[in-house]
Amino acid sequence: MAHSILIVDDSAFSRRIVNRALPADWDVRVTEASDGKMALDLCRDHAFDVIFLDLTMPEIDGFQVLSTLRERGTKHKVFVISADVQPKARATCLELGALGFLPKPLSEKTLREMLKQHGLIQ
Amino acid sequence: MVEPVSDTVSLLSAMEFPDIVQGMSTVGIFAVDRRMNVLLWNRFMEVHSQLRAESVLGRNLLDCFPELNGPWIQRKIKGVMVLRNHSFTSWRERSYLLKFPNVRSITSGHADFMYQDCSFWPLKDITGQVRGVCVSIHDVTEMALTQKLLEHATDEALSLEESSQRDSLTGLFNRGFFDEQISHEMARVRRYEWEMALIMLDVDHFKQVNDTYGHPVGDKVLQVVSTKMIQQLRTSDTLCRYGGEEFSVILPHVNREKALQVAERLRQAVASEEISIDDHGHTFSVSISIGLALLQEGMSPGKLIECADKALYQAKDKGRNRVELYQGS
Amino acid sequence: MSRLVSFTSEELDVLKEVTNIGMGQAGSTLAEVLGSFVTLRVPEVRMVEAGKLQEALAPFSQKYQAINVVRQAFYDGLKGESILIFGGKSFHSLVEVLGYGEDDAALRSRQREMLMEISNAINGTCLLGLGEQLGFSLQLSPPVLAGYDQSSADFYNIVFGGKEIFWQETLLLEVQFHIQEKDFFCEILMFFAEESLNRISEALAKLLDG
Repeated sequence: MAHSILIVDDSAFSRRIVNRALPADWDVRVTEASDGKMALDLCRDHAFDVIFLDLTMPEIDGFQVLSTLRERGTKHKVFVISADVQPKARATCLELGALGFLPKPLSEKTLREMLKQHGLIQ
Repeated sequence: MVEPVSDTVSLLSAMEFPDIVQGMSTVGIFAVDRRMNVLLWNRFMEVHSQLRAESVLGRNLLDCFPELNGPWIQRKIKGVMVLRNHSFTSWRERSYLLKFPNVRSITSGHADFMYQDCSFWPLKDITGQVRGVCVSIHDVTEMALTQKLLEHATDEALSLEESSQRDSLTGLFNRGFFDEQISHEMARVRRYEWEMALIMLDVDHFKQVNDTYGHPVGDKVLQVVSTKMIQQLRTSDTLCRYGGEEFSVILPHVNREKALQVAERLRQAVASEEISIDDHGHTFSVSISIGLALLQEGMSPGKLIECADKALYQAKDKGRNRVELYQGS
Repeated sequence: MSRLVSFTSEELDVLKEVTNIGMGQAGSTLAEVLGSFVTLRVPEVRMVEAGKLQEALAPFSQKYQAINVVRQAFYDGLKGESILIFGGKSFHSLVEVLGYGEDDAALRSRQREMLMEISNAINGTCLLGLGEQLGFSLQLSPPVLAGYDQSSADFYNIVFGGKEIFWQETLLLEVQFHIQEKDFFCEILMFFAEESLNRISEALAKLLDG
């Protein structure tokens, strides 16, 4: 059964990178959002299995998306993919309910391992 | 027959680059590991430190140069190793890294050390791992002295011009300068549509200070108060001695909140300062009363001063050692 | 005046993203040095013509009250100059963090040196990070303190005052770092020399095809 994935990043290039980095053998249906507001609206209407979320975005940033999703009590699996690699940013994401943090530039290998770790792929 | 270039190149490579660096006497090159043990020490370093390489290699740099600020240099070295980035020091902020004698002691005897510009970069081994930090020391005494001479000459020229604008006791700008400056500043802030504040302040019970301790102490009080206040202000702020024990401060480009903060800082700085009366450790402290007024539309310089003065009067009335903001501000 | 180099909107998007990566690394360095959380913002990327330079930099004269300005040039691989603007006043808490003593007389020297150290660390990390993404290494020149505790209205003069501009256009990347609790603001304006623009364009195209 296909997993439904949401990729949130204000950069089209970055979304493409995430898309390309997804394991080829993973059965997925991908939706993209170019900002936090769009992501939150989409999440209201769809139950995504996995969300890949950038932090540094205009207006509504990744931290706000995480805390809003938590307030809503949704059970999305969120992985943050961000260039904001300071330890406190990482820690805050996990506190806000993200399952994992992947630094940019994104490594296919690290992504694969993380998905495996959380039982999303074999 | 001329030797082919390639022959010369191979000859030099056989010599090994490190030997060339080692023999160099125009730039200092040394290296330390993460524990500050010396790994390399070239000829320049030997000559100017009077320490031969054999006596320094493997030893801790801080032991060889005890006057070095240990925490500072360790942090700097660590920074370079962690960031894998070049770092620098400049003679302007730090005259020298290691104190070496000035080589131009005949013509420039007044400088008793070498001014230095330094670079720091990571030292990597064959596998690319960072093993330590390399440091280069450039003798920039010539340039530094020339610059300082230039600046000194400029300062002297300026100070001649300025002496008519300055109060000789405190070194602050005088009333004459203030009267001109306030108009200039008002015009400037209006052009950029900024806000501006004016402070009028004076030393509380100053007459009593003079009567009790004498005029020399009174003068000292004014000097100390001036120094404490200057330390709290930006270079764009203008502090003037307005009269006997009265001072004024022009604060361009500040809002109400910021102006109040500055005024309170001034009050605090003066009130917390212990002023010594004599050589026997007797001290006392003074306080200032501050009147603050914000520039309003259509105000003239005279009106602004009047408002600040009124606020100062209120501060006195309400018990002194306080800041009062002119209401209607 | 003809445009020497034109970046497509796709290329600008890639450029923004590689700047983002450099900025993130620099932000992490700053966070470690100052022991605080650094708030990052989306970088800005634009081409600026020499004639419009003053206009492009006008917002900075309004933004802060007192500023410190540091210049640092870079070369070899990518060529240009970074201008760092520090607004807000936070030196007193920072002085201790960086291992300086409380020697009052030398305090101003130490403050200036600390400014240059922070500038070198974050500008260096940002440029090296972004350079690495594009496939370039680069060298940094020593930082230079261009303005200390000056009014922000003087910003343009501090950097370009009285000098002729010998180039037609430049690529300008802007990143910002903000530490709320310490009233610390730093912006880095990275100006790229014309001779580097084609190389950047090629590198971006490669990343897009990649």
